[in-house]
Amino acid sequence: MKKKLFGLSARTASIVAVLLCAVLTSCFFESDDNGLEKWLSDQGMPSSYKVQTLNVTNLTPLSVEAHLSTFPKSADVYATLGRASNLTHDLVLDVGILPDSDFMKSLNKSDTAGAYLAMFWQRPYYKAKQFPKDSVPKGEKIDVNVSWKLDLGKDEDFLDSIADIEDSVWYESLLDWEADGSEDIKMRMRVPKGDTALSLELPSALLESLKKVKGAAHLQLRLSAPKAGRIYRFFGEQTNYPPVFTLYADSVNGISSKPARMANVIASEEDCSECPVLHGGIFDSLVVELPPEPILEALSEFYGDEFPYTDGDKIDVRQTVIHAELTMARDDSKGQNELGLPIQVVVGSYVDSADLVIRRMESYRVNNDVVLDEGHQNLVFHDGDSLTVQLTNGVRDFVNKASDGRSLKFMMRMGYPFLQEKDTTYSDYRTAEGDTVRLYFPYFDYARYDFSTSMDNPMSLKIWLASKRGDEE
Amino acid sequence: MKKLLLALGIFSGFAFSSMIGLDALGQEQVMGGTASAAGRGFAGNAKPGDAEGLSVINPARLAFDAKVVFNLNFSMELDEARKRGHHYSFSELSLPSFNLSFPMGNFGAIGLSLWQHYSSSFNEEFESEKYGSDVKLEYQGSVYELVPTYAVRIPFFRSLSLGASAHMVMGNTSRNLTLGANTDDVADEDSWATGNYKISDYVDGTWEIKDHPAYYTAALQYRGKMVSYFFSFTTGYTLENVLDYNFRFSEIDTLAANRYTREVEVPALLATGINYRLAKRHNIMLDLLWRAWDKDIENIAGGWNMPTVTETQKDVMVALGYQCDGSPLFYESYWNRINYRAGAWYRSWYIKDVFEVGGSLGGGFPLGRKGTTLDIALQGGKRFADTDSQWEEMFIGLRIGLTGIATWGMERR
Repeated sequence: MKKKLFGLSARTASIVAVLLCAVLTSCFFESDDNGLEKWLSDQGMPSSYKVQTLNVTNLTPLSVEAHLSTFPKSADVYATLGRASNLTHDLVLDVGILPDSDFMKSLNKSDTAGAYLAMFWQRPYYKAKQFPKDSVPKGEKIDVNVSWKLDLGKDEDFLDSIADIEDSVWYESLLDWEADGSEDIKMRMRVPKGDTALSLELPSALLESLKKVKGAAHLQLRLSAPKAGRIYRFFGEQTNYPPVFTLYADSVNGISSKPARMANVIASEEDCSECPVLHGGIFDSLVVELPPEPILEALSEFYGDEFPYTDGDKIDVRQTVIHAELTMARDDSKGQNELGLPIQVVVGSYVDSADLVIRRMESYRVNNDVVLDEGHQNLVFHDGDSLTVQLTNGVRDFVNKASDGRSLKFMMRMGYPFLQEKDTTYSDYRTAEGDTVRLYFPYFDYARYDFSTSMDNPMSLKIWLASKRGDEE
Repeated sequence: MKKLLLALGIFSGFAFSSMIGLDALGQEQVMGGTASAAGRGFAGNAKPGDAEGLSVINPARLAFDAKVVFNLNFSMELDEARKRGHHYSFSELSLPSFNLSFPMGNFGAIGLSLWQHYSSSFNEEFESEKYGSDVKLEYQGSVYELVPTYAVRIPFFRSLSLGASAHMVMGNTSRNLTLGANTDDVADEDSWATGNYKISDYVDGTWEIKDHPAYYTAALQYRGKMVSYFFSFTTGYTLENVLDYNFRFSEIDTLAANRYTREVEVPALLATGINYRLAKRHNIMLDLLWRAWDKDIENIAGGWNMPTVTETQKDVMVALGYQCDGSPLFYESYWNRINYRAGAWYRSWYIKDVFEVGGSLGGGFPLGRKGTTLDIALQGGKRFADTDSQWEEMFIGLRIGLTGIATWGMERR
């Protein structure tokens, strides 16, 4: 018979005894409230990281490059036509036509035949309370050049083959525009109160070409208004109010087509392609390079250490940048805008990522006290004479990898018009009265801003640093 | 078995390891950390038997084994570190070793051990009294060794055996210290940008031996009727720890890491031991280990006031043990079949001015008739630390070893 201890088998009793001993012993082991903090201190470890600020002044850019791409862009939603800020905006529509033979017969026989293009104004833009009422087009006549390319085919398969062309390929083809015909016409630009479209009667030469269609046709229609005094905005084809191309024999007999796609082709008339000029709405950019030496010298003086770092594989992790902002001079008189609203300058930094250098857009942190008092500091066309952009990711990456000789490089671009100039919320919100307060006006201002004052005057960089340095360093 | 797993589950909730030397190599699991060796005060490397299993200190002993042995060990410790009136308690669970040995008769015996030679395991957090922010410190480090072993009895001198093993090193180490901000030096008008970030000082890396696939142990064992003894020599080697240092906000928004390789020169180890059989089943044993560290160990460190090196000293261990062997006959009473063990040890750590004394009680409890044994060792002791940074520690520990014994490949006689 097996021996029993308190009714348990020997094996179970052993395990229970061991468990019991451990539980009882644990009661004799205790910790102070701050025991671990004291131990950590004895190991030379802190219980917090120290934050310090450093101001680096008198920074002058090593280089400033303006990049403006004239590659055609989609106008499927926002379509523009005209000229502003030394840029012309041509509008190109890609239209497929598939008339039946009966219609073509009546078209060819009719002496009242014609073709027109109807485009709908971007009414939310023109009716927005932020849009200056005295700027609404009220009937000015402008010169518009209409040019076209017409390819004829037999049937729907022809149009399908056109539709198979990638948008980017089509955009690229617009760079080399050789029209089959063109004609200058006058257009009366007026934004009516209702939803009436702007109707453009197309040239008779185009009509004559269209009369030759036998089955299907691919029409590319380009509108240019290089002498217009402003930019006119219309709905694109991917909206509820797409442009409509209509070919008619008479008042009751016609066919209409919606463009398959639309593009804006931008041309620059800037005299100086190297000048530090940015335009709103077209994603051009200024790439600015700041010299590494003054920043590293300031860090060296601040910490009393050698910069750049040379130990290990020379990546500096003795500190990290919590926040950084660059302040530069600003002169709004060298800019022009349509809406009279401040425009946000957005920045992106060139940082390393998985052995590549990528451009990472910087996030933005709101300085409540300054915003309430003076407004956001990353705006142009508002009070003050300085511009402050936040470059946290860029400066963090720069200090981390400065040993390879890199400079501090970042990109500036004009963003959307800003609607919360002295509001710290920094997001869309609803008021107690139920009104929506938006952060941005959702349409670009085709503005122009000359940053030569900013680039020619010394800049200052302020860095918030977290350091791993010890007390004696 | 279910009861064993239940016990392990309960214990894992309040277990821990030493806080001494976390930034250097961590705590050494001496003698492979087996529960059977721990039960007799880490002595007994000279004790032969037919199923003693593999010793990482004395590979020659394996030649006298007659049975296949596999052995898995768990270690649990409760510690209280103290200094200048402050106390801190913590716990850890580890698996110091897994061993498998396979006797091949006249062809000798082979074995394989997976040994967590050094471990640094720590995971605690607290709220800073001064700054009110959370502080979290985590160490996860293991220098593992895969130790293939061969031992053979010398022909014509069958009471002598030779053994050799190679120690292939692998493992990794990491330290993660997460802190809140101290904005005392920031002007009021600049405090808006400091945020409420938690930043981690993060280091991780891998272990290997420099310029060599392994380090080696060679041993000679004598087995007498009453007295057995051994002598072993382990070569010195240089450990290489390739570390990536970082200072990061999060996993995705961080700096590139600084890579640095620290090297730890581990000197040769001399070991000897004796086992004296008092009566039929009573054994006393004494083991001595000696390793003369002559160079400081470079710490993980990398910031603040963390010392860059840990000073070393001669690493000596004296272990004295007793074991009453249980009866191998299954029809004997259960209490007679248990191996009873007791022992004590003195050890100077590799860290200067750190010494350890401890004692243990243990038993090897047969589970069924098939040769499976549950080894349990209860240990207690103190680690004395006469240094500025290390705290002395009281500890109690529980080691559990599960040993399977079989006669694979042996003919029934």
